Amino acid sequence: MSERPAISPRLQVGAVAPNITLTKTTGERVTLAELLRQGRVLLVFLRHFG
Amino acid sequence: MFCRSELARLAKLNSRIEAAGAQVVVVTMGRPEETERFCGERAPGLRCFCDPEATSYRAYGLARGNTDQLFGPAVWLKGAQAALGGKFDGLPIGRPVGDPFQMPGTFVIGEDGRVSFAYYSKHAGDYPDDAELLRAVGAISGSQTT
Repeated sequence: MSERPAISPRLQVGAVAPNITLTKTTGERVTLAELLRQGRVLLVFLRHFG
Repeated sequence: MFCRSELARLAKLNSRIEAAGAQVVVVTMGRPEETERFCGERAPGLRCFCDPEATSYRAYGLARGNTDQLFGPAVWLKGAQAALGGKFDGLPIGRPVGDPFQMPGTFVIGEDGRVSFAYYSKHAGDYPDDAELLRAVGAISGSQTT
């Protein structure tokens, strides 16, 4: 069984945000840095859905 | 189930968040077609993105929950409150998409790329309340409620 990748430490206010890459529902990929060019980001990580 | 009520709440607050100069970016663990269907049905105005491997969750320090965080009394209480308040949409719950143990989180990232707000949910149904969220994006001042 493969090991689950490590979790980074919790982020504190003032820390540099990890520049994550996300996938749009169209399949294109976008980075946080690209999103930030359009303004501040409220980033909400949801739990599973169903 | 809480993801549905959180998405509905974000859709409700979206115009105020945008008026404050921020953009809502929702991340799910679904595949693109699943995420499009889920967000399209419940919050068509929001921008939803996918991360089926949950790589971004781990990068932001979001862990998998323990039994108490996922099934403890606080979760049941929050669920009951949401149900009584009519905030659940589409019960019963269907087949879960994504890791059912993954904990959620909410962040505000400034244009300088730095974290200005970080909220690590204490349990599965725990999200920042409306006032906290609106203050975090600058839609209301420190002393205001919603």
